[in-house]
Amino acid sequence: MASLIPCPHCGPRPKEEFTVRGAVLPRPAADAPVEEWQAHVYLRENPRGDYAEHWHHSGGCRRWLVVKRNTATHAVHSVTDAAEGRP
Amino acid sequence: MTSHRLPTGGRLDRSRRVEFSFDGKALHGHPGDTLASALLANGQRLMARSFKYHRPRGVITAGSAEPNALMTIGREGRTEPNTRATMAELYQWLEANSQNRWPSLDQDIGALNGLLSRFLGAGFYYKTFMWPASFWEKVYEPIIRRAAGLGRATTLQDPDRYEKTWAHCDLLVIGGGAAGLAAALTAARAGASVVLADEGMELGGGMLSDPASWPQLAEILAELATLGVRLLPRTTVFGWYDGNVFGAVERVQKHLAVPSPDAPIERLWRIAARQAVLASGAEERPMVFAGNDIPGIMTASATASYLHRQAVAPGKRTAILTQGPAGFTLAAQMEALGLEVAALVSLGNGPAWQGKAPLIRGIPGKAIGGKSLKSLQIEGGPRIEADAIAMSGGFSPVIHLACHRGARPVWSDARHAFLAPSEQDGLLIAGAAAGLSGHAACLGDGAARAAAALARIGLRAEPAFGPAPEDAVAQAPLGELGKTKAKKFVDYQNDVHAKDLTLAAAEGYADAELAKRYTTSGMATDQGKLGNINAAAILAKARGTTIAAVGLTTFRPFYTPVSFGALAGTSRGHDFQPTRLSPLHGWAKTLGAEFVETGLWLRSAWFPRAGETGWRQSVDREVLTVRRAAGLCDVSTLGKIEIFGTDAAEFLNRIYCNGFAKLPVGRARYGLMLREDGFIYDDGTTSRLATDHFYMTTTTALAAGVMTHLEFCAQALWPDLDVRIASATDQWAQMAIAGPMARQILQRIVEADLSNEAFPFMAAREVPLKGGIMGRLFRISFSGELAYELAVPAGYGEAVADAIMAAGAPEGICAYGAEALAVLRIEKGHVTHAEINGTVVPADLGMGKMVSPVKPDFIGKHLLHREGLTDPQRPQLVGVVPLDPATPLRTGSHVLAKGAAATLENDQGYLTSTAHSPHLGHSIALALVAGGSQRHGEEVVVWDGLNDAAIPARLTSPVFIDPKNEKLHA
Amino acid sequence: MPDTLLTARPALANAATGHFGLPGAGVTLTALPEDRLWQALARPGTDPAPLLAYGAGPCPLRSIGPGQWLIVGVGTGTLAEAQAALAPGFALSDQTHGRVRVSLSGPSAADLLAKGTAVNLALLPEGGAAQTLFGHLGITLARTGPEAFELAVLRGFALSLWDELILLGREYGIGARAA
Repeated sequence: MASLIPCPHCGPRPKEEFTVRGAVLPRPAADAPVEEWQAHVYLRENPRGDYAEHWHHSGGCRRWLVVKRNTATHAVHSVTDAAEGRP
Repeated sequence: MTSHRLPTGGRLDRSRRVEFSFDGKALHGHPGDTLASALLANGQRLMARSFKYHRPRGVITAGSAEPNALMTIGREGRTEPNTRATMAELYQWLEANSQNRWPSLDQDIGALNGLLSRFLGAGFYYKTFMWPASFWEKVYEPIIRRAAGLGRATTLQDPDRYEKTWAHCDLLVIGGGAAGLAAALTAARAGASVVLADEGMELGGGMLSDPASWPQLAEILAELATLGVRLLPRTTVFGWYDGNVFGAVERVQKHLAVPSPDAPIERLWRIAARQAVLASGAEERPMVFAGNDIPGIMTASATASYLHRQAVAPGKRTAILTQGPAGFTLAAQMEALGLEVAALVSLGNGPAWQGKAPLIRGIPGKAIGGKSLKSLQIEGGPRIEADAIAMSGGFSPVIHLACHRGARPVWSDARHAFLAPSEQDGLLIAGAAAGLSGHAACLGDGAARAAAALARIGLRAEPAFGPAPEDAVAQAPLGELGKTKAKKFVDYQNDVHAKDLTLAAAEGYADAELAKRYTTSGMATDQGKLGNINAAAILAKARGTTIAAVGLTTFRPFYTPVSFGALAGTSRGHDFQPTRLSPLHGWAKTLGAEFVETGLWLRSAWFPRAGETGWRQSVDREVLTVRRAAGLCDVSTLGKIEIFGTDAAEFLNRIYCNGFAKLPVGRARYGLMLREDGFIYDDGTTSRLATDHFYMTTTTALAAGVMTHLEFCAQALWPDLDVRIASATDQWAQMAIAGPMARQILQRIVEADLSNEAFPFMAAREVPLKGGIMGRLFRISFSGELAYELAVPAGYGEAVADAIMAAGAPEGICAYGAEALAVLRIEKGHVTHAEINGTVVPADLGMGKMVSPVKPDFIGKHLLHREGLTDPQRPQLVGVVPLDPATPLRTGSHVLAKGAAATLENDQGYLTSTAHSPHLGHSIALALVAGGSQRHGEEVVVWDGLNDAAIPARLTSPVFIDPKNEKLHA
Repeated sequence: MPDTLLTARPALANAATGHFGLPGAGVTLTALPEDRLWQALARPGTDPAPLLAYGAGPCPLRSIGPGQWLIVGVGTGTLAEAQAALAPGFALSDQTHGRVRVSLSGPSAADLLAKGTAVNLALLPEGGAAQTLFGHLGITLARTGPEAFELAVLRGFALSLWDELILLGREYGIGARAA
């Protein structure tokens, strides 16, 4: 039906305004071995519990966000801009 | 048939008659009636046939939990099956029809099922329809499907409109009874924004069945309106969702004979509440005794509701079954109204009784009657002549919503009921929903809960009512009553009786969730609102454990059924999705274009001219005109993205697999964008308009996807780069002008030198146009011809297109559409997403050399050279031509070696795009074929499975025209 | 060829106009002139003050996300001049033709908007803006008065938005007019 995600830029918005990409994974270094790239592209945890995901506020400010939430309870712990804390 | 309407009383407008019909019989009621009350008033107690045994059924409740009185209401497109007569308001000329009976409600052949009932027990589907296995699909399933369900949905179009809306409030109050009203009043007086929703046609809840409280009710409602509370009667809050959003459906015009086409019939609300108070009341429990489903038997609160709200007596002689004071109160009220109470049967201790009716201590043994109740046998006691029974089996708090987000109901010995956690984030429970009883206690509790809820969001509120003591409550016995083995119904709607549940337990399905699936107890429209509590008690007894240990099945939205219309809102028919129009739409329409849906876009597909009888004729003419002279095609739907920033070039260098860092200003370059797994994501041209300003085009299909991808890379991967991205798709009307005459035509409206030297292949610059505007001109070609793409501000698009058509008239320029564009690009061997299908890498398309070997990093670099992606036998792009030029090729056909059988093992690839090439005069195709790049010239078979045709064909180069690109550079 | 000035054709040139739905004037829908709409994109970490000062002139600013604004309405000077004045901190993308603005006003304007957007309009101040979805359509929503709003939508969707606003406004009575 509906649920609200607190966008750090726009305030609470319904999930229909967002697009989920999946787990937040650091991109391997350019010279990382192919196995590391393989894992980066194909291997995913599927945790019951806390999870950090990239969500795009595609229907709003168009910023990529890091949504930390619980997959079992749906509790949203924090939502921050994906660029935050990066170099 | 005699009237059961009392001469006075009720909340009816007796001055007006409302005519309606039931099974074709003309009846009447008054405004204020529900369909159920009006039927009762007319003496129509037989309202339905039960699901499995086709037993005669009457109404059991006066509210939303009604399991029996389900009818088909309305006619033609407004026909709605399985509607609860208790919730349907009467309107002029309402048509209601009973269900699940043939030939009539009174004479129902299906009642024979009752004789077969020993074969129809719990799990009978699973036991009966096992053998022979081959019978399942052909015999059993069709029979079961025909027998399943009650009413029949109409196949006609629903003529009404539905809408959705959002609301935001400090406090949402769910339920407009005493607790809810007090909560709303408390919050509104404190200045909070309040929404009060109630499923009934009138606010008041239980107070509506208590005439003594009507003056107080009127006062509260008047003050709520004055304070600006958003009052939503006829609105069922059906679900509690994440973020404290509540779903509700408002029946805006369901009660009107002629709904206005200017307003929705139903409105779906999504209510974002900072806090909510659940004041949804309690459901009175039926008692489980033999014959407890005979028409005339209903709950005591339903009896009170019909008596006081609609002035309808349920019968001439009513027996009251009660444990505790509820039945005593009802008995006294009925006698005060001059109605005959046949007996007051008390199952336990009750208050003193001074009424006329005999007071009998005992339990019900068996109700006797067929289509109407005749008498009640007291277990080991007298037989009471009665045509109605009011039963008070205690109360189940309505806690559904409080359990929609994972909380489990907990059994309370003190309340003798399952309760939800009373305090959750964003939701408090008040009044009867929390187990309380009595209007005064509920008013006090609702007020206190509202004040507590507001305190959580920093608002101070003074409770509008003080605390008050509760009415005495009784702990009525749950589960089976009486020793007889006759059917005692637990779940009326699904015809589940006590024995079904003990059988389920004996066969190993005693878990509440398993028993539900095995017996169907608690399924369908009422989801066990009345029956689940007794089912739990019966399972507990069978398992030798407590009701607390058995528990209830999971509560999930929706609380009551919600129409598909409400969920769809305006998204149907023409408004199913928005339409996206090109800035050249009007231009194309004027030229008579046929349009094709491409995503949300409407694209001009071809431009038929007088005398052309089929699309192929038009498309062939357009293609040949472009190859011979010139054509203009609307390519505005391509994604266009502006990329700014000092690091924009570096950014593009990482986005594309080929190099962009050194692209000179004023030049365009074709680029391939890979996914991180090495496969091609999208292609397009990107032009450098200034050192720190690029203009990218994407395919139409992936315009949004590429934009999102670029934003991800810029924001999440490389936020250290100065790169800023803006979508400009809608800013520019973009048109391709292609053909050997393109330059001379375009030169007539562009005020810049377009000679090959001044504006060579892949030039990209801003140019002034005659007529006073600037455009962006790109010398790029999808058709393989000498071609340009000209982008102008969208509003000028039609004027510029008209000007070019006029300028090209001497050369015979034509408009060409997406179909001709497709033929042109297939002839040239250019790819689209038919080829870039998510499984190809650049080398598969013969573009392996584009991939930069020197760039240290770009998206897709690191997995591109895996073993499987460099296999020379991978499917590779080839051209295909039929050996017989008269034979057409079809997209999707598979390629087989000559003489090979059409099997999966022999499959060598498939045709990704096909077209009739008017240039070559025969069908051509692009295909992805194993090792195809080394097989040009080989004869193969194209197998068209749809037509079971095997077509001899030859693999060729995918470039069918101008392989040396002389036209491009002309 | 052509000898005369090219003329722009408004996206809503053929939009339905008149009164729709129930009697009364709950909402008025007006197509706004397609005069100026620039998207400003700030280099990350740039002080927005120069842009805000620029916006304090005749061109109201609509914040549509971190570091991004729409500059709307009538103003003097060309995009190139503005770009020169605001460089290097801000890039300007011309969206004058890319997005179409309409105004929605009247006592029921907020109720109509609530049918499409989840933005809590009670918290949207005058002059404030929000980038949001209205039904399926992305819009830049701004409050221009106590009962007045402005919606900017991608040009290609302008007619769809217009028709949907009329449909959803019928129960209040809605008057739709060209600029």
